[in-house]
Amino acid sequence: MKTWSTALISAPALALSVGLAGLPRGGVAAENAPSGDVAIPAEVHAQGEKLYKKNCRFCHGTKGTSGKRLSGNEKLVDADYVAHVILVGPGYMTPFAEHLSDEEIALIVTYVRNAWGNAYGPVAAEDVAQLR
Amino acid sequence: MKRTSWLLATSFVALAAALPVQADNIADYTPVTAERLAAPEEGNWLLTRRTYDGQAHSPLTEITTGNVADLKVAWSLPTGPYAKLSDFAALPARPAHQAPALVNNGVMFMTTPDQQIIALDAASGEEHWRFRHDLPSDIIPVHPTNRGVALWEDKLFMATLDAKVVAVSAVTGEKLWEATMENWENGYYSTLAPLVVDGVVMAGTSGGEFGIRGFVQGFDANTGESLWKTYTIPSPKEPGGDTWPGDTWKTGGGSVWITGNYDVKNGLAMWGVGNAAPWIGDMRPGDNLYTTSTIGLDPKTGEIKTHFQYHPNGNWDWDEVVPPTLMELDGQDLAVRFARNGWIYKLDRTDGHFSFVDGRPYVYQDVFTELNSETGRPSYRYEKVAGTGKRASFCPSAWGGRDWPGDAYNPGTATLFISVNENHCGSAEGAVVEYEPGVLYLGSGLEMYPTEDAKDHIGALQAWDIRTLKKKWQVNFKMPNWGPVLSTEGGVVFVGGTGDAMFRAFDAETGDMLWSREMDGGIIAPPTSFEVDGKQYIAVTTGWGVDGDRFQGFIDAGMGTETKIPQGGTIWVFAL
Repeated sequence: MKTWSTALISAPALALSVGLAGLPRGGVAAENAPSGDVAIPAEVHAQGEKLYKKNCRFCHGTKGTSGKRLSGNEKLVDADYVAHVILVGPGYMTPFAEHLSDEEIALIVTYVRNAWGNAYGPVAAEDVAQLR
Repeated sequence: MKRTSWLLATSFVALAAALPVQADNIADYTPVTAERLAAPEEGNWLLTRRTYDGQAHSPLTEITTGNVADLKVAWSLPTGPYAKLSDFAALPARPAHQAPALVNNGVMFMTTPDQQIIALDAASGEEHWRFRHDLPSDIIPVHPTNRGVALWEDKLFMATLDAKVVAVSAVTGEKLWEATMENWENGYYSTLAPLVVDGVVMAGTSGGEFGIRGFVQGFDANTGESLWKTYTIPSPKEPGGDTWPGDTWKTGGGSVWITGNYDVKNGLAMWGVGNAAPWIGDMRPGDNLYTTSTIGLDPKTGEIKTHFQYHPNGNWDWDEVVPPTLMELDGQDLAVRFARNGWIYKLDRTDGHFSFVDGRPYVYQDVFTELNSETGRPSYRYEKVAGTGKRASFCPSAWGGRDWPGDAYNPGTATLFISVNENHCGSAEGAVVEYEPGVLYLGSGLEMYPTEDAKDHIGALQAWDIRTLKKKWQVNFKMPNWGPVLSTEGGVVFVGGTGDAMFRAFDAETGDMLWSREMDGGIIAPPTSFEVDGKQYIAVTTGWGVDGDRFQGFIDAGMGTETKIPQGGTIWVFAL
């Protein structure tokens, strides 16, 4: 999933977004988007960041360097794995399956895979739904 | 009964609206004095472990080994409805009831994980009043629980999940004052019951996992004025400050989350101090005083008069927050601790200073090679010490041979009873971590696995002869045991603690099970015993969650099992 496409984020997620309508397929080089060969729209990045800070920051930190380190974590290449972890909460982690929607989890997964120098591309709500 | 219509309500809004209406003042409340705390009447349970020495032993004798089989429910009361703890999407753990029922001349006080205090008639269960401390809506309670109140004169004191101490009228349930210990947004939170000595209310906070700087703080019981604050991590200018490199002392952990005991003879409050932050020792080379220690401080000034460190430069998340149980034995004043690190420590405290007497493991522990016979300082096996980028496994796991549940001591037989968990090990590997206020600051993951022997048992109740430090008996449970213990002069020991939600009574001399009852939930709250109108009662509250739940989750993951433990949330009172 190296190429941005609006199809990768579900319609409800897009509805949550601000200013995504009319985005050209293939994405835009968003302001403040992470470096690398994948560009995530700033609005999507911001929504993911907001959800991340509310639900994940107190364990993983603003920079993804606390708890199980997310910054530079090569396991993030596997989007299904990341989504699965959020759903089931292995070990000491809180399971979020009953508390966050597919769209919200997709936004968080997209954020952590593309923040702090990570550049692994977006994840769709449909991908999360298949893991439930 | 005062618990009328609003008890039927399930709405948190209904709870909040109804609270002020239900106050039923206690007309003849008996003030709690220094003399009564130092020498409580036989029928009362005024402190979390009944007496300042922390023995959790009731002198009542109506219930005996010969009649405990006839124990019946006298009354029970669900503690809900509960307030919503947080707006956070998913609570990190199930809220747990971990408070003992304190009883003062027929009035019982209980707390709940959503920060309520309930005052009841101890003989009937009839409610007098409820008080609830409101939490910030955006708080994330990683250990949603409360371990009870402290009593002084006509007041109660509760420490809260947003790191405050709240004083409440025992008569009316009205708030008298509130003091903030620290900013909860920086990872500070409280689950312990405060300790009161001569009008000084002492408390501390959890939060070692967030890189707090731990402390014990003393407040004026009447006004809430802060009298002193003693950090468990000294600054570079203080004694022990040279055991921390650079600025590591500022975020060194050393939380205080279990109520201290009080050495009346020497005037020392004995507080246990948690492990250091981050968890991996090579990130803070040095002994890291006073983490993983007991400190003895003067309640009037907060000055640390003595300390004993169980394992320097801790590396295994072995908090040593439970204070030593104090006793006089054969003319010697002792402090005995079953440490989370898996060893027993017998310390002398006769002159007001700790000195090491003896020690030995009470569960399998593979990290120490020995304790120095003079100092009690352990030597480590290097391969059992994780480092940054260095993986190590160790037994027992981070939850230790015992966690926070309190032991009990029968002074007549010099026998100590304790809930332990064995046949579980852990591993860790350090990774560089940046400090961020209010964010986990561990420097490693948390891994635990049951060993092959765990198929036989994990939990156990042990009885130890403190004179000889020899084990008298052990009862094994297939499931982990998280039960604080109650000892009684009638020769009966009570404990819950297992995920099968059983509450059991054992013969203190033989370990034979004499009585048991399946409850509505697992028990991790301390049982207590009291007397009203000449009748002896046993009280315990169900309410499984927090670390007992997390520990079971790791066991299930290791064994491929799925264990459902009922949560409960009910005060149960038994009598013959």
